[in-house]
Amino acid sequence: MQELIAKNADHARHEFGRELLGPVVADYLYRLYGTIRFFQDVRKARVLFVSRAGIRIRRALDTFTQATGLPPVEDAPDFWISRLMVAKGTWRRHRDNAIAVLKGEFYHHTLREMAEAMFRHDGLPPDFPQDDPWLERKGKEIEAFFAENGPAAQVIAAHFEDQSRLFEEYFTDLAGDRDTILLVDTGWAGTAQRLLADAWPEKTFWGAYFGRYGFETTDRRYWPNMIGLVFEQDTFEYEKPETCVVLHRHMIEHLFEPHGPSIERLARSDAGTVFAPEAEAVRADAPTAATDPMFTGVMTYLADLPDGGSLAALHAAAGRAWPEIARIVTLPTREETALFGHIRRSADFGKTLMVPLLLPPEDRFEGDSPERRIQDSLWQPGQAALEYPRDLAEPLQRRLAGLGPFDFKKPWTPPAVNVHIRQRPAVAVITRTLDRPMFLKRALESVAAQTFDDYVHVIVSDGGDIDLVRDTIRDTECRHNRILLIDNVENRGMEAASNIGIRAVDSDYIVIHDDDDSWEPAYLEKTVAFLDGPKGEIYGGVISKSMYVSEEVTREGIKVHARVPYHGWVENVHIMEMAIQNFFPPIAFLYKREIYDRIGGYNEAYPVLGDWDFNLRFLMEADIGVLPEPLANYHHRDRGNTHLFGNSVIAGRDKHVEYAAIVRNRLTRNALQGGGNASIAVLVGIGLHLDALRQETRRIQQRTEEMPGMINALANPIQELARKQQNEMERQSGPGLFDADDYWVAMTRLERAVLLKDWSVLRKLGVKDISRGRLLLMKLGLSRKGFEKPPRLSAESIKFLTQLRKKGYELEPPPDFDEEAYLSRNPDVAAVVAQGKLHSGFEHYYYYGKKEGRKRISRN
Amino acid sequence: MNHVIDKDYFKYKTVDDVNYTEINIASREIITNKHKSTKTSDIENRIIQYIRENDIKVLSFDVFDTYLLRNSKPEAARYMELSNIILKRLKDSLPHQERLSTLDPADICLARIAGMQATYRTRPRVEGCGEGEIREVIAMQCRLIGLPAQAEDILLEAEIAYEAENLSENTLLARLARRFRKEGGKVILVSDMYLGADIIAEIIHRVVKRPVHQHLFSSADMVVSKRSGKIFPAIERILGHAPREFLHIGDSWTGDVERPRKAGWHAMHFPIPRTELNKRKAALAEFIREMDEKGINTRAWAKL
Ligand SMILES: [Mg+2]
Repeated sequence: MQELIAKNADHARHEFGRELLGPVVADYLYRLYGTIRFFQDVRKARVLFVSRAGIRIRRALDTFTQATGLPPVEDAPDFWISRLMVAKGTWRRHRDNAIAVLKGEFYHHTLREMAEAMFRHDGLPPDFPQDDPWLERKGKEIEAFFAENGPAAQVIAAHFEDQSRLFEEYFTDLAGDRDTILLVDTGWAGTAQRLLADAWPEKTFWGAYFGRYGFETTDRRYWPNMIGLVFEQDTFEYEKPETCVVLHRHMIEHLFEPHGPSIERLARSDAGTVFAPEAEAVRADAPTAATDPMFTGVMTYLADLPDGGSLAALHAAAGRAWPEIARIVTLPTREETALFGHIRRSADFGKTLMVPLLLPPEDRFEGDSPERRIQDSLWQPGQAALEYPRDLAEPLQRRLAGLGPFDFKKPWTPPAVNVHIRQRPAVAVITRTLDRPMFLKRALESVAAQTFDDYVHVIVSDGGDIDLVRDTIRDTECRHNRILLIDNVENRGMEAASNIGIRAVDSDYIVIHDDDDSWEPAYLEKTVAFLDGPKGEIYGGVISKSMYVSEEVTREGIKVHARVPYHGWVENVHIMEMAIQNFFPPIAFLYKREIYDRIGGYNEAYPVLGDWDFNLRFLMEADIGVLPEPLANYHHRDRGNTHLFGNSVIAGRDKHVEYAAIVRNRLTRNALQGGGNASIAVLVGIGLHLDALRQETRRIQQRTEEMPGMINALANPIQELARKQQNEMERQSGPGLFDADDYWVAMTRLERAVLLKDWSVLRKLGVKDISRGRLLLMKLGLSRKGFEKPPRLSAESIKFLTQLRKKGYELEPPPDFDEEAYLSRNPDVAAVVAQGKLHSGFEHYYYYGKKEGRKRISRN
Repeated sequence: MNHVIDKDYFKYKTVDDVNYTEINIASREIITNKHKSTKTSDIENRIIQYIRENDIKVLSFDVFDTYLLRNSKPEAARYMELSNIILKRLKDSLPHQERLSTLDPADICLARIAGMQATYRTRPRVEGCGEGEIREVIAMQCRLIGLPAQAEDILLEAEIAYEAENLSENTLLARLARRFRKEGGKVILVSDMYLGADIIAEIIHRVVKRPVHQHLFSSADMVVSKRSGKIFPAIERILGHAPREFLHIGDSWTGDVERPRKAGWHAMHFPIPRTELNKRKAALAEFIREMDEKGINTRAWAKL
């Protein structure tokens, strides 16, 4: 393709249309054909081809049906509308919608501009009140404009009233006696369908679109009635290459876009019928290889159907073409962007202003930047290819498309077959209980509510009243045939109870579900899928994030007071962190039985902290993955009477301190006596020191920060600021989210934003004026004493600042970064910096080098 | 399992009779063996006892995978097999149709999937529930592959014949139903299915000489379903019985146990055994791989 483009771009476009878009369009047309016929014959619907895309869709469909020998689609008229026409046309039936559409379109424009756009074809009426002061105000005030009903508003409203009547007549005529309407269009969020459905609630509207996707703010009330024939999802996913259209919708939109004016008005003919005066010009659309090479390429494919005309053959051909299209859409080379270089899109309602799909890679105004142009581009990966050399563009394109580092490096293959055949239950859920029927009931329900059901639930009654347990199980709505009840007869302790339960059944995985904890319904489904999937080859267990639930046992039952993330900072499970303390609850931890067997299960000698000891020994054998969703709930009776219903963590706090020493000592002793793992002994020793060290560091920092005027004395206040932010973040939510460089970059950016008075940035940070910006900088740097809530930038702000890349924000290296050494070790980077494409070696290291595995060189 | 599992814990015991409200009919193999072994008669007796204790007036069975037992093929593979049969029948009955010569069973199968998606998605909803219907599926199927209207009857007949050939009566439930009817009880069948009651009845007549049921309800006709829970009050109204007078038995935990219990019915689970599920899973994986070979990615719809 690359060579072809270099030789002759139009020919390349034709070939792209014929070889790649051809099969996917044919597959789409098959689905469309079936849908249309189904709606006509089974749903007795009126099918309408929505202009303007409908004009070319029909042309493609007719060619396709002829080539396949299918009976042609009949009795499905064109529907001459545009978003603006529908807004005008529903003025009488649903004014709020009509106004909302206009407001969105003319928010930043004057109402005069809006008026002119409304009368584009007819020209403003001669008696139009040009001097109405309202006309100088902005479209964002459009509600007040119409509410006040001044002279200009009256004229425009009268025009809408008139158009609305014509539209109602036009639509009623088209719809005939049908209650169901199917609209055929390219996509994507079905605005016209939504406006029509709101205006004609007595009819049922359906849409058959190429694809369906939306944004966070998209109105999705009619979503189920909008059929995306090829895809229905908001984001691109490598495993579904057809979803690449969400990154480059103009590839499809432009393909079906006929030449000719937009449809903005209706009129009455001499014969008295309603018609769209602009329709004729659009109907005259005659794409040729010279004007529309890609479309004619597609049409050539449709006429010939070289892969065969059957459903399966075309489905397979489309399946082969999509990965290639997706590769070009997500990771285009600079040459390949030329395939779409000719596309221009209207930037406004009336289609008077046209903007190119891709922007020339040069500054449009003072302060413009590649980053900004990519942001503004209608095809971001394409713009990235224009802005940066290939080796810099590709990582950026991968990030924009959400691609992994190896995606498309090998030929695309469908995802692995997700079928798991087991000879035993997937999971053994172990619940230890002792005379707490109220909690046990909740635990039973928590397990029964799981969306994954291949488990056996072992209830171990640890010496309590077995009849009470039995009755509780009987009276609870749960899957009784998945339950195995074990009576320990006498109390044997938590860890012994776990071992008894685990060894009583067979399973692939094990999880301890204590009687007072609970899960979100998706816990087992997500954790089992994780260990069943490719990650299962790396990890021996997985935790989900968990919530700390603060509750109290009252006469009325269990009362929940608060739910907060429990150790929300956990992103990975490090042995070193585990050596300091246990930081996840058993309820979050699903693991492989083979690891349990290998490490000999739980140590029954510990009344508390048995899980910590287990986790430590577990980590000597295998790694533990982390699911980011909080699916496990760790319940605590930390209010009211904590003794009676207490967790061992709350009620037995002293025991924890005592047994932390015992666990460390035993592991060490065992190792020294040759019966255990020597490295684990070293580890828990280091852990103890680390813990002490960390606490000491915190104390020192606190004291340092209490010293007034500290900031001025420091050689580099920005670095100090960065360090403080890091401390503050870690104090509040634990380590791990950002490193020192992130804070350095964020603080540098913030300082620059204040200096440059860059409102686009400051506003995002919630800073409303410059003195406040300076104040924020100062406060961030000052001691946290004296502020009731120590100021800190949110994680979002830091992320935003680190990702900020524009002119004026050249990135200086932090004092501890050896810029010279980095550049001399990386001559390719030095070249890029010399060309002025990057400001510093650090900038390269931070944005690219780190990901590429280059070494950060620090000063001593 | 009233035995000691681990010698180190000689003092603990497992308690296996917590299944008070539910008879765990675990071994379908025993039933399909058609021997009236002690085990199945045990189960039968326990259900009868349960019926007497709870004064049950209406015994209700799920149809597919409960009253009628399927073989070990996953749904996706069944569609493909059926597509082969359809193509053969079409060629026999419509010898002059030129289109048929270029048709592959995969075309018929994909058209069926398109039809299933269309009917489930677009059929007008009742009380918030949606349900598909086989005649709509076939209508879409025939249009997509360009077959004349008379082909629709051929497809429907092939569907009925194929189902009948691959189903067998659950003799345990059949005996149970006859015993219950002798004692004056009513037996009904309730199915969540895209086949209407008329079609299911036709299938049953081909499988079973003397069907056990007096009434047959299908979500394909009623649109409200077991999995939505809304079919139960509708059936109560039609038959004039109170919720507590029903006992329903079926293989789907949600549709056949959870939902009817929520509606006030008695319900027992009749799960598909692991060995059976594994056979279907293996066949499904095989099916997906085979279709991959043809370049057709079936992951979005290929089910057990
Ligand atoms: Mg069933």
